[in-house]
Amino acid sequence: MKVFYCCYGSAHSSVVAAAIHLGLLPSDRLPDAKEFLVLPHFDKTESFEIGTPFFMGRDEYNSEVYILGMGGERALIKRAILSFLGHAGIDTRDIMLIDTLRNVNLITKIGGFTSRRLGLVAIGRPLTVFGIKQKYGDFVKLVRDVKKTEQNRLT
Amino acid sequence: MKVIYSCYWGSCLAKVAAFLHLGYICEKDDIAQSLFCDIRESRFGELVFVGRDEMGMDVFAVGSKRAGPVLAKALTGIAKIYGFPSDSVQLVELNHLYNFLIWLGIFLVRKLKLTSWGTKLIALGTKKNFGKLQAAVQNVIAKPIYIENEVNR
Repeated sequence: MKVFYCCYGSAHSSVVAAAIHLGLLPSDRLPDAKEFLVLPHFDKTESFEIGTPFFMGRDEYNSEVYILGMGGERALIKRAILSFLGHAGIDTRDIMLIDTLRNVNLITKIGGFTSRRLGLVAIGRPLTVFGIKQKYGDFVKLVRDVKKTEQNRLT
Repeated sequence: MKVIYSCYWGSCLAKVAAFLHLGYICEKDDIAQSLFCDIRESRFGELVFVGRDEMGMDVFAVGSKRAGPVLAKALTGIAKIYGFPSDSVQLVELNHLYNFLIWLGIFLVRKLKLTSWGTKLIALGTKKNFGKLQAAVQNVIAKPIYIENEVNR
């Protein structure tokens, strides 16, 4: 099984969801800012890397967990990936493409834009962390639901 | 290897390029209005199989709006993850070959439902850029993977 957490630029929400999935971030408490900042790819992925899947690790079910930035056309890219795998003869039940952008609030969006687009990391990065902390419970719930589905598909 | 011709709608330039690749059309006069009758938004992102070329490569057309470069990286990355060689996906972005006539034709077909006039304009616009489309297809066929495959046959 392969789980892809997908967002706009694979720099914030997908990284956080993948980190919760893999136990790099806690599910039972709110992490502090430092715990976000040490995550691989967190607020570091560059614009030219949008579209490139990054491996984050293997979970307890031995499934591979990735992050993937899809830019502004997530439905289109998802359809293309599933279509491609279908034509390649690969069972698409083996793949989960999870949209994490729905858990992103305006503060995180402004922070991400300021840091990644404008290059004002010192201003944008703390804003992204602040915004994600506000929605952290939703991320935990999302990952919990993903793991349930993953477990069901594997059994 | 999968060759994927990509343009905004997937049913104009990408389709003609795929037809050129497969030898279904050879000259600009072969471009018929009937080629452009399936401009539908719901097919964005769907890889439409057009045929298999003489080298055994699958040729597709896809409508990718303006996300061609992101799509190319995503498909290449996914292909690698699933163990395909890195050059197993060749996405050819053709958006730069859209011209005013094609856009106007699409507008007539989609917004004003003037299919006959619209497809005429699309065909005209495509014929105008036919040489560039041919060059784009030739560029794919001249790639080393193609030549290697020919040697191995």
